[in-house]
Amino acid sequence: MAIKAKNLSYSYGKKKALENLTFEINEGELIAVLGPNGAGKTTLLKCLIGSLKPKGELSVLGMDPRKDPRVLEKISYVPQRSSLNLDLPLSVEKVLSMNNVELNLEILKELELEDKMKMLFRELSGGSQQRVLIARALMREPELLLLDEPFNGVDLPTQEKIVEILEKINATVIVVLHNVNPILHAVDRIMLLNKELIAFGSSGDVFKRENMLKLYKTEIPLITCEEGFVHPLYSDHHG
Amino acid sequence: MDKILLSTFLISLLVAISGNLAVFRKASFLITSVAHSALAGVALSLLLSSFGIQQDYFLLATIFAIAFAILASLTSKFSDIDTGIAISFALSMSLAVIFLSQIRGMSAKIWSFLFGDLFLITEQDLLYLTFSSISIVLIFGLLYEKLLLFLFDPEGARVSGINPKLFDAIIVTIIAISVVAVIRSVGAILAYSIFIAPSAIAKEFARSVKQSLIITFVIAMISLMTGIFTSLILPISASALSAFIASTLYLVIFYIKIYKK
Repeated sequence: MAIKAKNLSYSYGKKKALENLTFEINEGELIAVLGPNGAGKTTLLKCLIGSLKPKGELSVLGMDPRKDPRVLEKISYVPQRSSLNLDLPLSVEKVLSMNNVELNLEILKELELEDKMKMLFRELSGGSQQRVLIARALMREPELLLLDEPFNGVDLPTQEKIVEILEKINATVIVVLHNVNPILHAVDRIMLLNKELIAFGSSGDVFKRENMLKLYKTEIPLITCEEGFVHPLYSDHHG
Repeated sequence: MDKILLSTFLISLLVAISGNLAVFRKASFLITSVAHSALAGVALSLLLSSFGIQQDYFLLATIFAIAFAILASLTSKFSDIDTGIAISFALSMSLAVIFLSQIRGMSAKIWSFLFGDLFLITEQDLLYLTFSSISIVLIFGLLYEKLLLFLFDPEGARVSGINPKLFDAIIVTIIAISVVAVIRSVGAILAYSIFIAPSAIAKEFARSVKQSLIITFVIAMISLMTGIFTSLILPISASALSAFIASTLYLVIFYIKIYKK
């Protein structure tokens, strides 16, 4: 078992962010966590890396991240690009190798970054920046990879590339998203989160009218594609 | 003159490290806040000495500067330190005024800490400056990679074994000690422009953090040396001239860049 949570709750002061989450994630699974703004998606990731100390039981790769920082050696975290400080004039090479991380040429090639090493990270496009962040995360050879909104401001070809890589890697992967459609065909399970756990399962299991109403407090049309996956049809304010 | 040249070199070194840390931390106003916190420490030491309790300014100034800098850090998020700085600034400045209002006949001494004088640095001040510079260069050198990682990715740094609160406290402490170390030479009021203007200029050109450190050091050196040599000819304060030169240089470069666009 990669992650086991029982009655996990977290509040920012009096404001509840997560309420009694109970779930299990198996090793090697690719999980999408879906919910509107303020649903607690990033809070959940921060609980998993021990940045926040939730109430309840939590085991990540057999350890409690609140008490045992050794678990962090096995985790890579790709933050939202908006949380990065782009005032620093750092080259792509520097971003990748910071804190003595060894450069992996195979990963650089896979993510088409070899010719961008001398460029400044802040001067790259959104998609290239995201590829650098994912390369940085993969070079740590994690057992658990956490990604916060990796498709924000990223063009379609890069989205497809990211999905292709996430499908291939030998790790448990949790991706936090607003719009699940770019990765829907690749994920093993989808978690619908809006402070509480609304549903957790395959697209056919979770994408139901009542669940979407609970999640977004509004009607979201659902369609089934040719391959049998149920997709939510977002309007712009959900995407 | 040797003493002044050595001081100038050490001040430029501190400006390069702490000025860049403040700019990269998006907390340039922290320099002003810390300088005025140090002033509260100086005021307390003067007040104590007026009661016959001799207390060197450096210790109390350092304690006040670090305490209020950490207060600013602890009361804010990484992305929004302005409010924390404002609160600690108001608190320390009010303490400074309270202490100063109780002191009689020490206006010249207070004036020297407010505006500084590069020509009035004592052996003791130089010792503090040297000790602070060596400590800060060592800490900065040892933690360089981790500091960069924390500043670049404050949310993700934890996964790399970095305690964000501890590293933020280290950054503000480095800034606090640097400002206290130069308060006698450049003064509490002028510290801001001496520290921030060269780093702000470097930010416009640097293609790496190391380049930014070197550019800041060189500009700080040029500003301070020009200020010192000009003050030998004209009866104007060297620190005021240095601050004026650094700030003007930034404005000129800023407008040239805008004009070229």
